Amino acid sequence: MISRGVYRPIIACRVREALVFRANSIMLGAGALVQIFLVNAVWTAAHRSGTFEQPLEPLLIYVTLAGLHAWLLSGSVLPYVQRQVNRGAHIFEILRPSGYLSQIAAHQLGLIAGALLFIVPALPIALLVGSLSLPHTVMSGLLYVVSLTLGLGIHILLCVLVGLSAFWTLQIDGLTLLYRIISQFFAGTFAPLSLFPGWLAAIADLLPFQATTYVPITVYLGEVSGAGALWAVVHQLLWLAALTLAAIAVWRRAQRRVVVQGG
Amino acid sequence: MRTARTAWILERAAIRAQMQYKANFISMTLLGIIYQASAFSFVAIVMYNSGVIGGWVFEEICFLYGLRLLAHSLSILPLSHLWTLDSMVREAEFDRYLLRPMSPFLQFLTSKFQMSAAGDLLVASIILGYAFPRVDIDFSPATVTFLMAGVAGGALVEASIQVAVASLVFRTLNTMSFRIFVDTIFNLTGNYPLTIFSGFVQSFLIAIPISFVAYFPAVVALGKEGELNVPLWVAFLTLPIGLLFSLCAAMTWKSQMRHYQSAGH
Repeated sequence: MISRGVYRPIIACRVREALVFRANSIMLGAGALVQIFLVNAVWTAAHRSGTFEQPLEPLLIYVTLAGLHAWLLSGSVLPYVQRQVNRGAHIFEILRPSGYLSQIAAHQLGLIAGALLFIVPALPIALLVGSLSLPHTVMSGLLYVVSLTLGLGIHILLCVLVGLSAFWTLQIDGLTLLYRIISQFFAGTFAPLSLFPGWLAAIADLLPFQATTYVPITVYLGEVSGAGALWAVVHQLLWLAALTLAAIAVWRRAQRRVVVQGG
Repeated sequence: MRTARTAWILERAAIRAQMQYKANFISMTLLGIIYQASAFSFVAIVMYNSGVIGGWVFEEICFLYGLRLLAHSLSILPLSHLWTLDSMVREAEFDRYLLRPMSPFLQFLTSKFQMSAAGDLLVASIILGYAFPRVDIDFSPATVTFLMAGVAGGALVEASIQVAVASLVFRTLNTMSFRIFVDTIFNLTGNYPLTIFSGFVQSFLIAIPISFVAYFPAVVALGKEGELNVPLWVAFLTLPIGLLFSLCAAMTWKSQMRHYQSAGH
């Protein structure tokens, strides 16, 4: 079902797109860096003047990394899916021998790769406006890479699921924005989930969004380590498996509901 | 006078057109509420963990945040479809505005009315409604007038900057990422007391002039003049600056429009 041949050309195309529209990519990065700067300033001021118990430095490193994660995930395949459905062009993607789900996943992966291309050279600037550090231990660093990869996989599957809803509703602009807002919030982008009020943290724990940001970064910082870190990764694997099954099941039903507009 | 009357008739027609899609209006308003609620929840979580920021307590931050959100929603109420200008210029739909006997800007302004600002307005009212009885402000007629002038001036500042940036489309054909960048700066930095930033950043924020949109009026109303790094009279300048920026935006639009090159049909 997953066709390897489709990934490389689509990802290459998206990366080239990010390079060609580099003004756009740079502006996105500038916005992300402003966000990192501001979130750092707010938490620093809160720590200075308020009744803050937690140490400041790990928190600043957390929000800086979280801001970079948000930049990594800022490109979404969903407007593309919406445009294709508007024009009825998604039928061509469905008819291709490489699976529809693979193609959408490849587009999303390509957007992530395109963002990464601009994030890496911007790391010194991120260091300037925020706080960065090396992983807690070499093991933390390796587990971070594993955890982040799984988190990205979860994010891609969630995007695919939201995109598939277009087969029913034809209009997913509102759902796209809603997904973006909720996923960013519950990923712990502006504040680690450990600082959420109890009831909110409990809700966040039940949702898969923390896999992209909170889980990998707490592994990186060594806030969860050893057995705790391994369990976090296993938890992500379980979500990945569940979402893969859900995507396949939804796709089976979606194929019966193809509506091609235009002509 | 006749232009104003015609513009108002067109605007009412645009509003009526939007209200035909009631479900869309409700869902866009709800989406606006959720969006603003999530943005505010960052502030709420910071205050939940800290209690005070830059000497401002939660209720005072709510007051500042609500004031800024009110100015912001008033500025986007007539202009939330500004993002469509990009495609209109690129696909030469702007031609028809040049052929009619009315200012192209007014025609564009009254062509559509997106109700998404209604959600922002609602959230602003809720936050301000929470803050008003809990802050230490004497709501005398003078203070209320000053705050209203501040909100009006703030709305004019934000609207002017958005229009000026959007008018670059006549030259660059794509302003989306730059507009989002400007929007990000305003949305993120305008909600906090200036004192949490370093001196250089403070000067920058005063210059752009996001600090005039809500921070200065809030500082004066709350009696926090002691923390000002500028002379006191500067904090009263929101409305004059708003009017000045509106003038500059109008001039920018007029001068940029001359660069329009129709792509034809």
